[in-house]
Amino acid sequence: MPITLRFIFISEADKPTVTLKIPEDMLFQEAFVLAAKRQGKDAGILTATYPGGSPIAGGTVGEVSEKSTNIHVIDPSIVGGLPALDSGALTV
Amino acid sequence: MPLRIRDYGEAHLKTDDDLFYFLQCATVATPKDPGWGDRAAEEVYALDRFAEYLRFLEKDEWFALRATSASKTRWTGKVRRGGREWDVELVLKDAYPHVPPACRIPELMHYTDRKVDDASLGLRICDMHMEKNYWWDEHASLALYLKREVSYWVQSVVKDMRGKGWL
Repeated sequence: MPITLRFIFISEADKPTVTLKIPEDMLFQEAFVLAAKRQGKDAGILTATYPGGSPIAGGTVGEVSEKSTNIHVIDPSIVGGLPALDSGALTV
Repeated sequence: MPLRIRDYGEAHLKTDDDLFYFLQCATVATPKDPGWGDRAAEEVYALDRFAEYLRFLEKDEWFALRATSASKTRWTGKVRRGGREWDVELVLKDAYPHVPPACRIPELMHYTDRKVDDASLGLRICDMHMEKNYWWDEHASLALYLKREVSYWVQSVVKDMRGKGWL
C-alpha cells in the first residue's frame, strides 16, 4: 500500500517541502535519498528526524510512517552556529 | 565387479567459494523478470543454510535479516560483533543479480570512510575493496555477499573503532 511522506527541509529559509507517495515496504533511506534529489541536495550530508527532533535510524517507510508521515530534514551546513551570546551571560 | 568409490569431495574443494557452493543460486532472474519468484526462493534458502552453518558450526550467528516484503528485494535486520549489534539494510536493485546488493549499516558508517556513493541508498558500505578480483557473478547470492563482504567490513570497522577507543 502506498504511503505519502512529507519531507520538510526545515533548515532552509523558505522551508520547502517534498511530498512522495511510496510503497510501505520500501526502505525509508531510499525515500529520503529520492526527496533529497528532488530538492537538489546530497542525502549523505542531510539528517532526517521526526518532528521533535528524534533521529530516524532506518527501517521501512511503513515503520517510519507509524510514528509520523511528516519528516524534518536538517542540513547541518545551513543550520550554522548559535546566535551571539549577550556578553553579560559570560560573566560569572 | 565391486563398486569403485571415488571421493569427489575435498580433493576438489580448494577454495572458500567451493566450500560455500551451497550459497549460490541456480536461477538468474532480476526482480522484474518472471523467474524472480524462483530466484527469491533460492536466496531465502541460501540465507537459511548460511544461518544454520553459522549457528551449528561457527557458533556465531552474526546476522539476522528479514525481508520487508513478499518481493524480497529489501531486507532489514541486525549485524553483531563483539557483543554489540547494529542495524543493517540491504537493497537488491532492479539490475540484481547482475550487480551485487547494496548494503547500509548507518551507525558504523559514521565512523569510517569505507563507504561509497549509491544511487538508492545515498551511501553504502564499500565492498569488493578487499578482493584481488571482482568475484561477484549472477549466481552469487545475498548470503554469499554477507559472508564475503559484509562480515569482513563489519570486522574491520569494529577493529578500527576498538583501536581508536571508540567502542
